[in-house]
Amino acid sequence: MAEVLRLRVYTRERQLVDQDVREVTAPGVYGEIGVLPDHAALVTTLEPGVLSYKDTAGAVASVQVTGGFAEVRDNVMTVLADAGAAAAG
Amino acid sequence: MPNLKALRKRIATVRSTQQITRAMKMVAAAKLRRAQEAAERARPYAAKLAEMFEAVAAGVEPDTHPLLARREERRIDLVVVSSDRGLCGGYNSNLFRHLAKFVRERAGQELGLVVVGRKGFEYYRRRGTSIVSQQVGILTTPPATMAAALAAEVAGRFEREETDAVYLAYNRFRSAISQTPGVVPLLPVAPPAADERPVDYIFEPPRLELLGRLVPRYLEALVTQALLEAIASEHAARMTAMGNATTNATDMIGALTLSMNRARQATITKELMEVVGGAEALKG
Repeated sequence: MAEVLRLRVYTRERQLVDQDVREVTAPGVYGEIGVLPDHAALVTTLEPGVLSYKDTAGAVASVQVTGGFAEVRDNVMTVLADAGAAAAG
Repeated sequence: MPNLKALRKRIATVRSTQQITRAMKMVAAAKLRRAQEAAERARPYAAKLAEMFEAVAAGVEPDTHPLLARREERRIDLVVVSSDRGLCGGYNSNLFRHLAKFVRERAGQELGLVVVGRKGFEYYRRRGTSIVSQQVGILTTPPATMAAALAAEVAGRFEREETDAVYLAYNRFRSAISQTPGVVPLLPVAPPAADERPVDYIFEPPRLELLGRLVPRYLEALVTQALLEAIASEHAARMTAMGNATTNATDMIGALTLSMNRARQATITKELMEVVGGAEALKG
């Protein structure tokens, strides 16, 4: 069982996040989606909201997204945000 | 004999033109660098979106989404990305020449143009080509915004069956000294071939609904990449053109200076001869 998964967040203009994380919470179409390492392959749309993640040290950070898409596959979570900005906290 | 004063004036004119072309070259070079960086930064998003589109669309039938529908191409739309301003060498004319060929090959089809850039609009209006719409401000509007507007427009026309296929024409950016015009198909969006070993994805919302959201965004990303590349190409073309103009001005100043000096020399010689001639005559 993998300890971490790779989180990559892109907006149209640039890459916002590229790091190993323990856990991701994303605003999915049917409510919050929690993604842990070894999650099943998934493609989903995202609603506007806050995407938060816990890094390997256990610190929580978050990114504002205005909607977009996310894919989870082989312990890599790729998030394509329509627009996004790193949020405080 | 060229007049000395006129020559001096001419040199001053060329020199001031050269100052302008040199400044334009430097501005274009700086903008080119920024445009290249912007295209570079936007590339991962487009690449990932294409991957995701492939994951969702792999193997679906073309009739599952209106933008994937393949029809007989009787009416085609061509999105032409030209520049608003000139002084960029062959940037626009190369593209138009390339397109003339493309259009000739499709003589039997009804053509509508969606023109970006004032130069393209003026050119095709003069030639009486049917123009569906036009946009200006490629260098001042954020590329993503313009791409969204363009994508929405052609997608709308395609869905209403006002056109059967949409192509996108722009100057591809190869390097700072090489840009080549190209035409790429935009609509219908080509669904990728089914994967050999498909990944068993969970789709949220269901696959077709997801596809419905993904396709317009994918189309937008395609247009955005093209616009970013066209912008880089425009700056590169302008940089080269203005660099050449600056070099030509230097040559011209050299040639003019030479004839000016020759004229000056001739005047001095003539005056000397007159003085000597006068003195000789007095000696008599």
